[in-house]
Amino acid sequence: MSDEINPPSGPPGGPPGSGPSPAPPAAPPASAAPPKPAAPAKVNLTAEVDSPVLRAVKEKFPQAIQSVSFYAGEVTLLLDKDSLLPVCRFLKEDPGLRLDYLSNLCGVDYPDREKRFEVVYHLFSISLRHRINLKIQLADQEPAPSVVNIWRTANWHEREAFDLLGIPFEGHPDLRRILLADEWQGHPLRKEYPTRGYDRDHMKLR
Amino acid sequence: MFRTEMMDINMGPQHPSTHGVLRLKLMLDGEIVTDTDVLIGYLHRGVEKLCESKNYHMIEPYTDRLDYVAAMYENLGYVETVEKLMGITVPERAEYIRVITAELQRIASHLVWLGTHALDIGAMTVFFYCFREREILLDLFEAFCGARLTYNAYRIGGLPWDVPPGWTERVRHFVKIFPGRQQEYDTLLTKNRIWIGRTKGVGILKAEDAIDFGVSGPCLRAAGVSYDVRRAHPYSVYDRFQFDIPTGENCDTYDRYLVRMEEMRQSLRIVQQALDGLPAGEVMGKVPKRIKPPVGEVYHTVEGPRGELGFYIVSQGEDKPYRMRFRSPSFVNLQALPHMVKGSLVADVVAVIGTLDIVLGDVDR
Repeated sequence: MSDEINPPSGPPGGPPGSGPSPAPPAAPPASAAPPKPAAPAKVNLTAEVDSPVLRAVKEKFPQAIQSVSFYAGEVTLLLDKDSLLPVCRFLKEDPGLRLDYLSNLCGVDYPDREKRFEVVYHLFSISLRHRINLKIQLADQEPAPSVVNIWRTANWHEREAFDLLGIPFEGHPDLRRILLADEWQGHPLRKEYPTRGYDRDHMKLR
Repeated sequence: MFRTEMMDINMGPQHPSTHGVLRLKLMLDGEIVTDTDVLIGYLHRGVEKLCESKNYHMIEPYTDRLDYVAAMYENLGYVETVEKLMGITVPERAEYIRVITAELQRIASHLVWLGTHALDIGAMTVFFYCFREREILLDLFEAFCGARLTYNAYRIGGLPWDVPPGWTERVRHFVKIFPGRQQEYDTLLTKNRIWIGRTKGVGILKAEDAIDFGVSGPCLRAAGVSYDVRRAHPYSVYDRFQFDIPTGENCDTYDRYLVRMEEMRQSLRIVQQALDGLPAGEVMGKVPKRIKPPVGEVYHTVEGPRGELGFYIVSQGEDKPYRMRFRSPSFVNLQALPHMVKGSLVADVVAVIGTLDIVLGDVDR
């Protein structure tokens, strides 16, 4: 293993800060030299990638997918809200997919949109090591279906989304604030909520 | 007439064994915990909200304050996420130095865990020994970036500085002496009857429950699941190093102790390999002064000392993130606590809090 690592450091006593002229030693590996001329824009970040999960969902739930987006190798499916639970259950239980690990769940606020909230689910399969991201869109006060019965870890994530964004989750066993005090007014992660200011009205506890 | 009744006991937020401001509401039947309500948020600072009004460079110091016991990992995960968002390539030397500092940070973090966990259960000496070695590491970090806890050590696209002269020799010295020091903790604890009595069979978290609860890191591996982000999704240059992923069998506190002890040894192995292969060259890649990622969103994870540390950034093409989300392992792991302590004694709650290795700054954000 170390044989592969050693070559770039060929001149062992080479001074670390040898200035901007590493042309001669940078010849053997494709490591230090390429990033210099390559501008960041050359990487195609939105390139399509092949995903077994995407293929399976497309086949099984063709009408559930509203759109598919790719970014930096990640696949994100925008799903119809009503088909979220069946799709999730299928993704978790299908033996070929086994997305048993809900890595992250959070909400995003887009106040300019007609349906202002997005709930994002980052799924991962521990045994098969693939990922997929799911999304649903919701209007203000429109409840999202809770996935607690599929992944128990969603419990606190959904409570946090409820606390900070005010997204209600239907079917959640214990939906109450988690990070803020129970008497807190408002939902801080909404875009209209002020970040700073001496007006403490919004921080009034009782 | 003899009768019993359930009792509610409050534990925390000011309690020495809750490692910060964690509050538990324990429902007790005598000495047995029947139900637990975990109340968090005492350290909530609204970092996610703050990030929405800061540019990408200004956010990195905020990440330090999340998991202040292992701030290198917060820095690492954050800069890597932005690099992924923009498609930036980092120079080799910077990647190697990142790996070295991050793995040293894992050891430092596990030393805090071991010291405080043992102290909670009643073994005081280990604490002093652990902090003795941690001091060496903090001195190394201070020499590298000027700070001992809140490092702000990396930059988007590389490192702000190369390592100072003589630093790698000091790291090599640490790599040489640490196995002997770790042997001392081993002698104090591994076959200690009191330690075994307090940890064996305590706080059992089976693999299927751990996965269901989203638990990651040593707590998941002690349940026998060999999931480590460094192996499952190699980031940085981790695919070039040889290291083992220790796993446990009994899913209990003692196995989690063994797993973390072994992880320190494996981290040392990685540091050794990275030092041997450390290439010469630049430490900062070609990065625009103003970080303005294109429209898009990424979710990137790194393996922190506590587990899978995730960063979700939504960019709208501005110099500030539209949404920043920290998926902190402490927050997710803590969720399993009520399940782990159900039916056990109150004294075991202390052991379970210690074994989960939570940092409240990371839980509350």
